[in-house]
Amino acid sequence: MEANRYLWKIHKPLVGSVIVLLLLGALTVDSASMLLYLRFPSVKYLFFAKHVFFILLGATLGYLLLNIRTRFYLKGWFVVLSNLVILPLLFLVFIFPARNGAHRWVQIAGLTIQPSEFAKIVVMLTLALLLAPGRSRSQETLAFLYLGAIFLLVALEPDVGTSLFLLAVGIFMMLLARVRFKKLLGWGGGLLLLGLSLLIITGRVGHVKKRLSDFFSGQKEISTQEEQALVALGSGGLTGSSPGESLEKFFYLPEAHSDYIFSILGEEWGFVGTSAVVFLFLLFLFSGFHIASSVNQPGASLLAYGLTISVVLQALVNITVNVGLFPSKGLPLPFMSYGGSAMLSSLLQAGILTHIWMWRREYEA
Amino acid sequence: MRPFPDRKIAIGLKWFLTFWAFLLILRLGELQILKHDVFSKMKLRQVRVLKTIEPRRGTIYDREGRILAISVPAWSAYARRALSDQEFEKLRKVLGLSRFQIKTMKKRWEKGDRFTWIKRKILEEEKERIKALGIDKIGFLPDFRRVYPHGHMASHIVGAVGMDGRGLWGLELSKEKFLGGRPGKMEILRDARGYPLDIKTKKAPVSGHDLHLTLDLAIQRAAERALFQGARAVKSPRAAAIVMSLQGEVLAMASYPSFDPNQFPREFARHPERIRNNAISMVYEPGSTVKFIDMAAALQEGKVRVGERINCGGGKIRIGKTIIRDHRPYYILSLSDVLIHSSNVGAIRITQRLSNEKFYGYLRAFHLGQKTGVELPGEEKGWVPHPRLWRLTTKAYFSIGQGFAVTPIQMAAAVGVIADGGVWRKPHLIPGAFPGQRVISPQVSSIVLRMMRGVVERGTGRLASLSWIGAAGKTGTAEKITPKGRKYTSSFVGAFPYPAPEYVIAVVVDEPKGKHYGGEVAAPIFREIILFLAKKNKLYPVVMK
Repeated sequence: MEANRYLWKIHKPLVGSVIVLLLLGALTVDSASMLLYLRFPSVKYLFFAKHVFFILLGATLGYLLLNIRTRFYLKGWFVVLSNLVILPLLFLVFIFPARNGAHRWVQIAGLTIQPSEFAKIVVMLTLALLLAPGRSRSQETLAFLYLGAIFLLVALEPDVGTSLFLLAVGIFMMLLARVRFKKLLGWGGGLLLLGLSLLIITGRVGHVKKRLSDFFSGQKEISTQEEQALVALGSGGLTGSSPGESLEKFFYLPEAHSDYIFSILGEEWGFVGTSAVVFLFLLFLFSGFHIASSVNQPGASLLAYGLTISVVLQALVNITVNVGLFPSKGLPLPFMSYGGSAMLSSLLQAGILTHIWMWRREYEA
Repeated sequence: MRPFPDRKIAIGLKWFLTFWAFLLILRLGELQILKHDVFSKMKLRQVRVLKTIEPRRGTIYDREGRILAISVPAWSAYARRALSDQEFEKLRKVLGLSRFQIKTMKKRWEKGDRFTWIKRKILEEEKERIKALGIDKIGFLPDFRRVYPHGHMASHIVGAVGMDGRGLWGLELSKEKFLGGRPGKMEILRDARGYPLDIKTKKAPVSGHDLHLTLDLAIQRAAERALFQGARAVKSPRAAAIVMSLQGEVLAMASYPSFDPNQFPREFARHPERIRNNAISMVYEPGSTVKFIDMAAALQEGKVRVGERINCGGGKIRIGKTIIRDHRPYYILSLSDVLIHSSNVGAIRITQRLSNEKFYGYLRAFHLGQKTGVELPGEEKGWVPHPRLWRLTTKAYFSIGQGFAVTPIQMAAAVGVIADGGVWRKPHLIPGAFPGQRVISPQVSSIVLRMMRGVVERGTGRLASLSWIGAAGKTGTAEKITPKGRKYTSSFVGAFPYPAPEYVIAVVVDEPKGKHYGGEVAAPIFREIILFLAKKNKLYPVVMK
């Protein structure tokens, strides 16, 4: 029960922002997915129930995590173990049938898992371990190769959005770890070139190329998702129609409950709601960086930076897609979008961040 | 030793992400505040559909409150999206859609229409049958269906409406504004697949007014039965009968052939001739029926005296190079007998005493060759040329009803002058006060009426008489020279009962085959009608004990 006392030592702004985001997200998912169970009455509230279930599962895992005194996740055995789990999964996706032309999911015992979501955490753990001070040359090289391999695996699914995102987070962590710039450029550029050429050879970038060219040519095929997202946001106005009153969710925006949840939120809550969400993620950013800068253990600090950047960058990219300034990427909005793997992954990232903060005294010199 | 991880880079990253976030807030402000109106409109355009709500059309009643036309609640079935071929097969079994209809619908979907009518104005029972197919692309909107419970009866008067519920013929057309009401507006919010989410009434529809007619459906039924039987017996292509009160109220107006207004579009496409209202649109030569006008004019002008004898010249009269004959030779006839036996020569002799202008003036005063103004579409004017166009023989021919043209309703109104003491009254279907126009004196009208009584009693119109109660009338048989040879128009006009008329009646049968005299073809129809009127008014024969 000692841990319960410690529970009050969580980083309150960080956890607070996460809780508010979770609540807003759950409300909006409930509204946006309403139609899906109108059409299928037998599964009434299925989407909302699943969403809440994953929030509760994530919170439970987080609670259990906070009760463990050691930063076991930065230990070599744990990192190796987690890699041994995630790497086979990343290969396994190719065995399972493609959905919407992509192998992103693994089905085990009725559960559908998206391994690339959990790969984010494993990559950050691995990089934090490998790039900690006192590292050797070979460790640095290993980090590069490791990042490049994961990038390629995910890109081949194909999930170009997530793979580029992983690459970006990895490079930011390397910058923070002061990996030598020239070398970074050399390795990083080489990896990028290798990856892109492989992608072109395998011809898996067709849909990305089309999206990109559509986006840059400015030739708008109106009433695409992007257009409908803008209509949803714009019609929300300052204060929005009241919650639950979204009209765009009725099949106008096909991914209303997942990738475009932010637009539905904008329609129902208006500018007040959308800017609040942006500020909540900013609060998360500042809290996360506060945690990272006040932790003694260099590896944990690097990991904290990585986790914060991962969450906030993903949120910003998703919102930028929603406001029509990026081509569609397939990245969900952390804590808000519907989707079990993504929800668990982002809750675990926040959990690890909190854990680093709570047990910082244990590691003081 | 420099700190690990790199503080500068950390701060740089922090501000990079913060800057990004503020850019997003600016963009959100632009979309949600500055461009709010634009996007709201875009959303409304794709989410909202405005549809008209059909108003309930007024009911049409006869003078006893019997329903002639009524709008009953119905449904219109539509498709939200294109139907598959199997779905069409299912629909065809239930609705019996034609191949052409299906083709038209498919074409509209290919053009990109999302909303397509499948079948409009179906009743509840048919709607349930479509629903039972379980095609959820099909939706229903409330509508009204115009029902004519008496079918063919009075169809030319009541008329019909089209698919849009607007009047196309008869009173439905001429009284459209009165009956139609004003449509309302409703707002349908729909999802991207066309399913309605919410339906709101924006403007309530205003129902149309009810219309009460002077028509008496019982008389209409009797008139139609008599006319149709009579017309069929002589294989006539068209015929008409009108029963009016002395005040000019149209009590019955039968036109043969007739149509079913419940099937108007189909009837109109297949048998356009059935739609024509012969009572107001058939233009024919009145023949001898105008002789009562000759008589009335000459008496009113004092050119003949009652009891005067007219030399009928052995059934022949010569005007210029033309010789006009009677159907049998007469020598000396009393004034009444000229009318009673319908002597052409006698009638010509009488009108010879009137100037062209005077005679023409009386034809105009009896409203021949002019629209009566009855509240129906399609009324013809007829044709009565001015004296300056007349030739030597024109007046002679006019006085026996040849060489000019009238409509049945004009003749009915003209007989009304004799029956009503010399006043012409406008025929009308909708009750109202119409000032009469005096044409002849009451004395003259009663003299002519007595003469016309003689026609029925012992003249050419004997087949029109009832044994126990009197009627007055005049027969007419006009010759038509057609490319197919000689044809006739048989007619009978009269008033009932004698000596105090309540009804005026005109019967016209065009191109009868076999029998052709007005007294043989039209008079029996007149008799059937007055037989009904006698029963209706309980004018039974008095049995002396």
